[in-house]
Amino acid sequence: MSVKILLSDPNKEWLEKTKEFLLKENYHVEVAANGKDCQLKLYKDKYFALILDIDTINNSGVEVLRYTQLNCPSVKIILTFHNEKRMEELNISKEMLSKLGISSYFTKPFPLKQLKDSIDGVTQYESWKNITASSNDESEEICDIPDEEFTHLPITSFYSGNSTIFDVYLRLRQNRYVKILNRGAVFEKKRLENYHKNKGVEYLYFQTKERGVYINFTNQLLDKITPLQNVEPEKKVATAKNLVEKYIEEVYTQGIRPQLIEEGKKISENIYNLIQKNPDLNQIMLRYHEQNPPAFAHMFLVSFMSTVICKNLEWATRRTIEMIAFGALLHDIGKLRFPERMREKKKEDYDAEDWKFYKKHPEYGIEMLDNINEIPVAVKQIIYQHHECVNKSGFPNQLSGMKIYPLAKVVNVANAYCNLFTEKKITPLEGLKEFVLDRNEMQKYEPDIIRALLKGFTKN
Amino acid sequence: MSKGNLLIIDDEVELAENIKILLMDYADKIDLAHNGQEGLDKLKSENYHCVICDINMPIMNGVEVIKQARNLNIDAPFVFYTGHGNQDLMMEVVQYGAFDFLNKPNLDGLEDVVMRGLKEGFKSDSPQSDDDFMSEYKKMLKDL
Repeated sequence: MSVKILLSDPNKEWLEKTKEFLLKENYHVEVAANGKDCQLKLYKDKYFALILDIDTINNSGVEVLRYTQLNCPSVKIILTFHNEKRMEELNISKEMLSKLGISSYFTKPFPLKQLKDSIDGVTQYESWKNITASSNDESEEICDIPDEEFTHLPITSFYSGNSTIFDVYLRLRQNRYVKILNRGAVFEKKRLENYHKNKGVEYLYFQTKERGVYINFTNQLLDKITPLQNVEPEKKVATAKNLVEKYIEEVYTQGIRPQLIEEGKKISENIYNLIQKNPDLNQIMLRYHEQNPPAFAHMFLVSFMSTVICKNLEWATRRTIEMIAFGALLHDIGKLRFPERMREKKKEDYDAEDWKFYKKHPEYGIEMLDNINEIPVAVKQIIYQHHECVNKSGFPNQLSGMKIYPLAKVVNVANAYCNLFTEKKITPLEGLKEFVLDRNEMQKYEPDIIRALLKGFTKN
Repeated sequence: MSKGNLLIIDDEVELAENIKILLMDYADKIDLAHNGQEGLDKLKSENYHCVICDINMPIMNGVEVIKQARNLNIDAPFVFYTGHGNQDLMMEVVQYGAFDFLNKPNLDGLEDVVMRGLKEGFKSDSPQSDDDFMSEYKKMLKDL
């Protein structure tokens, strides 16, 4: 099946020429007559990429951009400008585009081959492929960069002997870092051990702007090791462990179809990236992460598992899946309002007062999102109802089956299932058996959703 | 195969008529009510598998309709129109178990939502027993 591309440009001649070129390159191409048509097509169909001229009329390019980012965040956007001057006229800078999440842009005229490279991702996050080994200069460079511009990785996830795909930093204190390794340089085993064992370093940092590169690298590496017969499953796991967040790789080893993992993960990540672009939301997520890193990982895992379930629900459209991933990523944010004393407590140790707070977290969650624009009602409903059960045993409103929002039902199942296997520290497959064979537990959920969860683990 | 009965409660007569035409193929029977009270009366006298309901309406608004319907143990899935300025009402109907929301006036995804609603409404007519689905799950687990 060929990759589907949507083209929108006020210049008919350019449109025709580009369409012809892309068709020759075996893409499936559709042309939108104007901005409105573009949005309609994006709503009705699934596209891999949108090539959009900023001067698209009736709705404007900016409106289409906004619509796409909000409603189909997984669509790759490639923006075009009539010429360099147009960019200046509009007062648009490279930085601004990157903030808007535009991964590629072109000013006309440009060779159409570049467009193809951009669609295929060569020009963006695959920059790690062009890394040339650099010298292992051990000099350290101190830089004052705000904390929010960094992403951390456990030091144990760094390999010695391999070129790093980004500059690596150590955090000295708030907003102060030291660059310890240049992109392309190789981490010497001794040096890595020195940081970890002698200096007690737990995390190393890279600049968040490199996150796309990291994700792409991780995806591609997994792609490569998945089909290798001569690699022991344990070794595959070990490799994955260095690159993917722990929760995803655990699922990965248990036989879910690889394409499901990739799709589910990518969608969750896209939504996650979308969240990061909203400063208010990002703030909430960061606070949550700081307060309780395992709980943050849990939200990501539930998001991932919800998308796996959705892929097997006949009624779930791509938009539904994105909404679910979005809602699932935020489903527990209301817990941020828990009093300090509850933070470290396990549920078994909750007293009556704690339970009162606990049962209010769905409500707190939507209250926290009240003043944030652009949160779809679907997402709020997911957050509010993700603990409602079809047999009326849930909270906050003890709703019965058909009164519960279907997307919230999916997140409820994913949440309960993920809690079971992570809390009991068993594999996802063992967890699945235990979960599904518990008759009392199963009365809480919609059979269609449980079937979809089971199908997610079926190999064929 | 039965498709189910649908009730549209909307004071905008023309829009309701248009929606009825759009959804003709998806339901066995589609009834219209032009205010909340009329809708509630219809819900009391007929079995509907799904209800499309406006929130802001004269005589009785959508929140009151779903509230009273739930008090009468009418469990049919309710799909509400959303629009600007009724966020609070929306969150209120969620408490009574709104099934889904549609954007008015473009009604994106109308058919999908209604089909899901009708399917859901049908389930309550012939619920599957616990034993049925437990043995089905066991069989699926064996196939993993």
